[in-house]
Amino acid sequence: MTGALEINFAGRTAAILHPAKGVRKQLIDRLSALGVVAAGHWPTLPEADLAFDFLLVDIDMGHDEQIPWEPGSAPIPMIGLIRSESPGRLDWALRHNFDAFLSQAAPGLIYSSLVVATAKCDERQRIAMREAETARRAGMRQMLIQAVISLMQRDDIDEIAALKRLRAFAMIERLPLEDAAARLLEKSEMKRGGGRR
Amino acid sequence: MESAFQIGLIFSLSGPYTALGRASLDGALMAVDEINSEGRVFLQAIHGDPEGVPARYEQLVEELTRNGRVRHIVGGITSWSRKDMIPALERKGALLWYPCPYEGFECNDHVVYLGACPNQHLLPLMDHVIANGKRRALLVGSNYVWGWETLRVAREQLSSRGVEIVGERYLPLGDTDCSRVIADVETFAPDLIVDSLIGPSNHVFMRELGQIATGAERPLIVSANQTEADLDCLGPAADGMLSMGAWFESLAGDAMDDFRARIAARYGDDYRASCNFATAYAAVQLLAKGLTAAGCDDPDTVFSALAGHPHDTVLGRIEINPVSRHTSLVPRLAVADSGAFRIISDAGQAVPPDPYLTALPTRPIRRAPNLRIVS
Repeated sequence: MTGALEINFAGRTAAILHPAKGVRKQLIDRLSALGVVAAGHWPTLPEADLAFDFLLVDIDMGHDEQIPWEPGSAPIPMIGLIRSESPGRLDWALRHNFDAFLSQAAPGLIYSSLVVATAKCDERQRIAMREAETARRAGMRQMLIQAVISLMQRDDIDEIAALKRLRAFAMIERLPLEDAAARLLEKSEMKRGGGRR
Repeated sequence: MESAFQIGLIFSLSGPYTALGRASLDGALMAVDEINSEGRVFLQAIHGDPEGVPARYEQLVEELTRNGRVRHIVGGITSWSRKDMIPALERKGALLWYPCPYEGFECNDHVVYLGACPNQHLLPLMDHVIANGKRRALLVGSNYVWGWETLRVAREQLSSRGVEIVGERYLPLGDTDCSRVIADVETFAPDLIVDSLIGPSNHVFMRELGQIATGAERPLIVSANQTEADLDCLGPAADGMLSMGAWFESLAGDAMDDFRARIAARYGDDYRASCNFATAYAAVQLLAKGLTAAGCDDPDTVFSALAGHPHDTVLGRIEINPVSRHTSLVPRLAVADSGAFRIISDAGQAVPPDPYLTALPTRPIRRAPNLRIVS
């Protein structure tokens, strides 16, 4: 967890996927007291409008087809509504990586669920971005090696000095090392190309 | 024939907030006697005294509600005690009529929140001090949820509007060693003290503050929990302190004159009624109205009979929100002056409750700084 906790959700919207009209109404009222405009749906979310800020899903009856994202990749906080506590349904909810849970017997605690879900979703997205960035850079290892060899040949230096030079270039350009390597190779390619013209 | 209902009154008559417990119990008992003399409904009040010991509150709820004997309780002073009572209320299906200002951020189906929440006390209080040019604030509070949360809101409100927070101190509930807070006042010379101390901690702090700073040298002290119940203990040390509350003894009007006369007839001319007294009185009156309308003491039925429409009470015309279960109240700002609170500003009409402060501007969505660590 980093940064300040978000504690005011006024002006946001929520979708509630729950088969019971009474539960949907209860949650809509509770959310309204927190300044969140909510709408209840079952069994499907309206295709035309997926622009809500929270998704609350009944864990007992929820299924994959209802959730418009791959498990664990929801771009918004998702809250699981716990009813029966059956292990199979909890397992399904965990596979979807819900950001917070709320017992249907305790709708008065929905504020805590919003706070936790928002913070956890934020953290989940930060981790996902970091992992994607790590994977992208790992895919550029070959360029890194090529750039180091290129510098060694161009400046007649050993690999340690070449890496140091590349690192200095990355700092000046404010780029990750792998992107700096790509930029360097691109530049030397253009130079060679220019020479030929 | 009138219906008879047993109700519980849980107020501490000893411990760290005795004055507030005594005031609330007095208000509640006066209302019980008035209702019983009217004859529409008969209330049999059972008083439980937790003596200011947190663990005793939950036990008393269990005892009073055993076998469905009592289904409505008026009581609790601190949020600590209310939060301790809630699990027992949930187990027993009972309803708590909570008569004190509190810090908000709660909405439980077994509580009716009759005291003010932060948009009705702390926010207008902070607006007032900022408008009056205060620039250096020291925050002091009792070390439990009331102190933590009121001072958090104060800190956010003040610092976002350019007031420097020179310090923030908490004293254990009932602690009277205020030396470090007094040292902070001497060291940092604040022009504002936001005071969320309760009971003896506050009495000692105010008296010691009066010894080191007087007149124009003394920082302005503001509070959302000081009432007439504290003034006897504070004496002249309270003079100049500002308090935001839903009721003060000096409220004008015929109905208030009549209320004060009945208080004097029952408790004597010298008796000091407070917001705690008036809110506990109003709580019992509302409960009796709900019981009469419902014809039974089922908590949901009684609550539904009352919520969502206005009621004329000693607090003014108020309304309980059926979802948040909080009450619209009239914020009033008063200054302590020679042993009484003189009202200096009155919102004039009830302000709807906003226990989660949803009307405050939301924070902009956080963005990571556009910097990279190059590795």
